[in-house]
Amino acid sequence: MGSKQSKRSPLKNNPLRGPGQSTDETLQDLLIEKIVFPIIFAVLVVVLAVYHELCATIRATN
Amino acid sequence: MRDYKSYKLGRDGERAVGQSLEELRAFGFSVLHDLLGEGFNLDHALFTNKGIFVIETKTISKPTKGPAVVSFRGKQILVNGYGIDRDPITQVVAQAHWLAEVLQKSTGKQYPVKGVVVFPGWFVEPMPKSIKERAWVLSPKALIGFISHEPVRLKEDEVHMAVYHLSRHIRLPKQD
Repeated sequence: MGSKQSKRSPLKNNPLRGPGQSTDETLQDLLIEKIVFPIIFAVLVVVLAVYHELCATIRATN
Repeated sequence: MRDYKSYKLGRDGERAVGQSLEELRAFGFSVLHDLLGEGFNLDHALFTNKGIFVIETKTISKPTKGPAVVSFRGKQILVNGYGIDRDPITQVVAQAHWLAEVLQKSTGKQYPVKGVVVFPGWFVEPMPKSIKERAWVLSPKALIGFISHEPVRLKEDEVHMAVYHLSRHIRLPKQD
């Protein structure tokens, strides 16, 4: 009976969810969007500014 | 940052209520958490022979001093005397209808589904009849007492069927 179904791995089904899982996922998204991304952007800007300054200094000394 | 704190508080409240509901398995109850609907979610669903209960957790930070009391004015819920933005009773009643509809479509049976709003950590005054008829508003600890006073409405196999069908509804991947 239902040989096709019995071959299907139960791991392919979604697991049951835990309490507060949706809120936790929203929280993680918020953390990435509002905290992690701005920090990465700020660090990138600082790195570029330092690189630009270094290039200018090297050019001036040569 | 305010959003972050309020989501964190909400998540912690849902987890705490979820853990207390897990303890009710000792009474032969079944519980499912975080059921996803279209654009909304049900925090918890409790399956008992007294009926099925959709539980919405409202976590509100308690004042540092003084009482933390949930009271009622007519059909409105007051938290330390103040109204709350969204009406959780309307919300949980809609969720209960949705769950009853899902079960009806899946099993062909009309299940009794009751909405419950819980306020973890707060003292909740007794509900007026006008609210009690629509949904219960309780502290999480009072839930088992309220359920025990209900008449038996479902046979054990009906409860198992509801849990099985809803678990399948959750677990089966969405067909695109």
